[in-house]
Amino acid sequence: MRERPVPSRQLWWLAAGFTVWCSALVVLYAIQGIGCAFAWPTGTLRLWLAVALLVHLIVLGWMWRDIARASPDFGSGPTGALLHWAVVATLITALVATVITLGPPLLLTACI
Amino acid sequence: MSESADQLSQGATALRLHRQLSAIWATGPGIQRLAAVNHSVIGIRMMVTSFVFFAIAGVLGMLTRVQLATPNSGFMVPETYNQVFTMHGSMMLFLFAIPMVESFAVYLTPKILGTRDFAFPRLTAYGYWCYLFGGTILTVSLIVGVAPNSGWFMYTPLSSSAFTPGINSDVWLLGVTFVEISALSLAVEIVVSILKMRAPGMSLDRMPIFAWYILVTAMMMIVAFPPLILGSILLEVERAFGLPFFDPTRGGDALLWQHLFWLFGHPDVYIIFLPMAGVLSTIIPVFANRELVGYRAIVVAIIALAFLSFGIWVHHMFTVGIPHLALAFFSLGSAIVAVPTAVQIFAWLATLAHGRPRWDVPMLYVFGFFFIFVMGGLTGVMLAMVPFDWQAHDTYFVVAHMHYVVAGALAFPMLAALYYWLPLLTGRTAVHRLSVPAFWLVFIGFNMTFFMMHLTGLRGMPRRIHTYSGDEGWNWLNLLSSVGGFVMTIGFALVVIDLVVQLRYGRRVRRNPWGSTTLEWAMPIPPAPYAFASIPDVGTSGGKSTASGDLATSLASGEGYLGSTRNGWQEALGVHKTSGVPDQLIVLPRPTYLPLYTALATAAAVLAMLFKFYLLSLGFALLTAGLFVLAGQSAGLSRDYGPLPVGRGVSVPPHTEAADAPAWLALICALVADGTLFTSLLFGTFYLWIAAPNWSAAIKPEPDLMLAVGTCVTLLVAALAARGSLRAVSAGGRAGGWIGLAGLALLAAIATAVWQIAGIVPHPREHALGATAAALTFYVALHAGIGVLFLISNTLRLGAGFISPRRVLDMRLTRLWLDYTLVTGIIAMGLVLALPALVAMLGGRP
Amino acid sequence: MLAGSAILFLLVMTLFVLVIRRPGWGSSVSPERWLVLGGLVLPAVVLLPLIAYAMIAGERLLPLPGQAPARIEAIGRQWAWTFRYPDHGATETKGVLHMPAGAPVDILVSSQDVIHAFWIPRLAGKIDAVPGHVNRLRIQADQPGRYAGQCSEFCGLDHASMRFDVVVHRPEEFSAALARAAASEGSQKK
Repeated sequence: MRERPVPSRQLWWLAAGFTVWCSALVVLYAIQGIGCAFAWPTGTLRLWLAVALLVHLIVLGWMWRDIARASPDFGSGPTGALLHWAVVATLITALVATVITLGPPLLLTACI
Repeated sequence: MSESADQLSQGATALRLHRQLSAIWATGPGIQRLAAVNHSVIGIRMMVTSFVFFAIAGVLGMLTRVQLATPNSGFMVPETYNQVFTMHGSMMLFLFAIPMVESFAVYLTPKILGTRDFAFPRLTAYGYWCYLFGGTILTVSLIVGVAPNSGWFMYTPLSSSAFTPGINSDVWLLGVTFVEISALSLAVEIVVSILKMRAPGMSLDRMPIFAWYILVTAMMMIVAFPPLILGSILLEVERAFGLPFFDPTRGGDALLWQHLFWLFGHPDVYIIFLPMAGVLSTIIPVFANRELVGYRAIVVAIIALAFLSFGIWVHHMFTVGIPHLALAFFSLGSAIVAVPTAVQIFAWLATLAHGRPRWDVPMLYVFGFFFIFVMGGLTGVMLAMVPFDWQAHDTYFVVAHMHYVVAGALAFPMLAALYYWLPLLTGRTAVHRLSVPAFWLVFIGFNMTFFMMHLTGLRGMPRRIHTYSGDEGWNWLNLLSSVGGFVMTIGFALVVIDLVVQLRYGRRVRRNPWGSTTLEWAMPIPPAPYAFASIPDVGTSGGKSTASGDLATSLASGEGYLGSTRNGWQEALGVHKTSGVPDQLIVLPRPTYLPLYTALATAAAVLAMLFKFYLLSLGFALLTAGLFVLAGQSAGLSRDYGPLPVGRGVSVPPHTEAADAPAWLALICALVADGTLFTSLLFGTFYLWIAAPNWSAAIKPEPDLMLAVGTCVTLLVAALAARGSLRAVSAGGRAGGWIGLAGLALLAAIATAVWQIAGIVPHPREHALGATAAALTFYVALHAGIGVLFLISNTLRLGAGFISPRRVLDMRLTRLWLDYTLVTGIIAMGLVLALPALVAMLGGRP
Repeated sequence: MLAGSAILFLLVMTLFVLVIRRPGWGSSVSPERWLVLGGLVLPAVVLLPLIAYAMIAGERLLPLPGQAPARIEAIGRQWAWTFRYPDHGATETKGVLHMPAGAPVDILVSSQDVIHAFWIPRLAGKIDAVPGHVNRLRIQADQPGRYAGQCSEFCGLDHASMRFDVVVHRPEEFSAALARAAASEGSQKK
């Protein structure tokens, strides 16, 4: 008896984690650009950047928790196991990448 | 005794099957070769074409080295030198690297996946012709001396009409875009084929790692090319019609081009590298006699690499004056992109460490790759550091780094791959005597040429200077580089000789000389046009292995799926995306001249544009669109069949009746590319808003609210009518009324959009504000226009009986297209309406 | 950074040669450990300190507004540089940049036509001259003397010859030297 195939839509999850990373990068870069163009006070600008970063981290964390629980949706066979492992791994990597690439820069000079 | 009788009958069956399949699949002789659509034929043509361009671009590279070998050289005048180095870069990247990588993918992927061809063979052929014609246009421009001369990244405003009034830039913009259309169409087709056309039982966890690499690469191409295509279109529109997207004096901004270019340009490096990494991940385990270490980790690493490579485009722009905080995002991204690369490097090392490595010519090139790529990667990390880049940017250090990561990391795995797979193509193995010295010449020449450039760069030699005065301390380094270049060229010449010798005198092999386990070796060598006489089941190969050749024998005698012919159809199997369970029988189109004609029409449109016959160009563009509609007319089957037996007791419906047909996924991929282009256009608008000089001083725009709302409402009506026609056809009713309604609504949408464009203030030629509003509105009109083509195709195919209640795919595609048009239309119109408010905001800033 | 790169390069190449030459040499380390050590630990150990250092170093080079040093405008056009000295009236020099030693100077870089890049290799990094924008680069020369500068962004036909000289004067002599240079250029024109 064949195992139940993993639904095709689960493939999208492989891209989900890093899509959030991309969104974080684009949003933070945009906030930085707009903040500098409109000469926001540095404090306000940093606050907005930090909030945007935090929102993305929360989304990633929430996706991670959600997916870690959702392993039955990926079926019991080896295909599902691989995909589930890979999705969890991309989510974790994306989370780490978001922290590393977008966290430390917030300490630097904002508009020069 | 009985065994040999068995073998004999098996052989007879195999021969009969071979004859039947060949009659269906083979490309005809003589002039009919131009009608070829088979992936093996196109793959080889593409490979040969890309090597021809490689040779031309290589000669151009040698010319630059001759020029720079000595100070104050008079070998070339500056204008010639500028054309030569621009074309060296452009040809290497656009006409060699990407197409070469694609040719490997085209030739090998279906075979490695255990299927007979790609999902859209005519698109493969169209892609090839576009590539050939686009490349030819560029090459001819070089011969007649009007080649692009602004550097391969064509920075505006140098490439704009004010500073390059000739057709040089137009050649680049149109030629390269033409080649990119081909890359994009192949990418869509590769994604669809990998996900939908594998050997039964090849679930994603069993898929060879090469296919993962190619899948991720193709997806990257779908997202990476649109920004550059958009940039090229905008720049060409600026040059041809004066819409100032990049002209800072009229509200444009030169840096917008750089963003769009590098948004493509950086991922492009990985688009070239990933398939080569895939080659290494395939070859190394074979020579280590062990399966690849860390399959799962590599899958994650390549996904991470694919995404990270998009998020670091600004590291090519560290010196344009972007604030440090923002630079740091991209600096950090560029540094951590080293992590997934390191994971792969160490997976390969671990595979070798845990295996029993065997040494052969391909491994020699693997060694060359390690040496060069690790060095290039390390200088890459150095350049990712902002302060270092401020010093080294645009010097020969970057030239050195870039050749190590792009040229070295491409050329060495490519040659490894050639030596590894050539026996499959030709049925002969290499003659060792020449391959080893050839390798060392290439390797030593390469390092001699490019290692010196690190030093010249650190000593302050800027890129792209046609000469130097001789007192800077660069003389002997440049001379060594030039000598190295010639050594490398001799090496490549020796490789070519070696390959020709192998082709003619190599020892014949019948199958699998390396003991590989991937499916491309489970077929007769050289491969027949149908690739597999019958299709293997990867789940239950019954102990028959590729490595020993049993599987090839069993497949040849028709023991797999589709081991017989029917209706003269070119048959392949479609499978469920994740599990690899067969879910449809894909009937592929036969050889046809249509791709050639379509590509010729496209080329005519491009050439007319180049010589500024704009109406003629429009005419040919419409002809191209018409040919695409015509190509749709014969696709699919003209009646319902229901489930058909495909062998081994399995029956599946033909693709026309399947829920998850390849065309559906293809349209989704195309829309992802289109959506990326649209997003880039939105990005461009917002970018100009905050970054371009003198937007606040512009005349305040006054978009017509009623027209914009009218466009959105008519698009909504069209989308709803498409739903109505789908429902009507599914229920067996008549859809003519619904299609008519949708058509009228689309025409109304086009009319309102054109009206809107006609009244745009400020005039699109006067200010980028008007130009972006015009571009956004035109985008909507264009998509509505293509929607009309969908409807025409629907009408024709309904009439011809290609659409029935069970075959409603056409109607679903139309619905999807019109939904997309509606959504982007609302966003575009919304932005056009929001422009006055955005400009007002600028006026209010301190 | 160079030495570090050389060590890493040698490390990877040694590993490669060892696993080929001595089959079984690396098999005592499990495959997972190979990946974790080489793919994650090694980059982390190398990259994180390097990034931190680069970010701090980059911050130090920024033209922060606090000190308000002298300003000089550098204007690029195909294929020459013009320098203006707003702190010294309407003084202008062509092809030669005069600056005082021992104090930071802000160069305001702009372009009249295509993109150029302002670079004095021995004094600082480079910054692009982008039409429609003004970029600021802070440089400081500690020793008086002559330095070479050049355009380092490809800008067309004569890109290679778009060079300029930098003359660094003793701070106390700077104003007089600048006036002299501007006057002599002016007289040459007539």
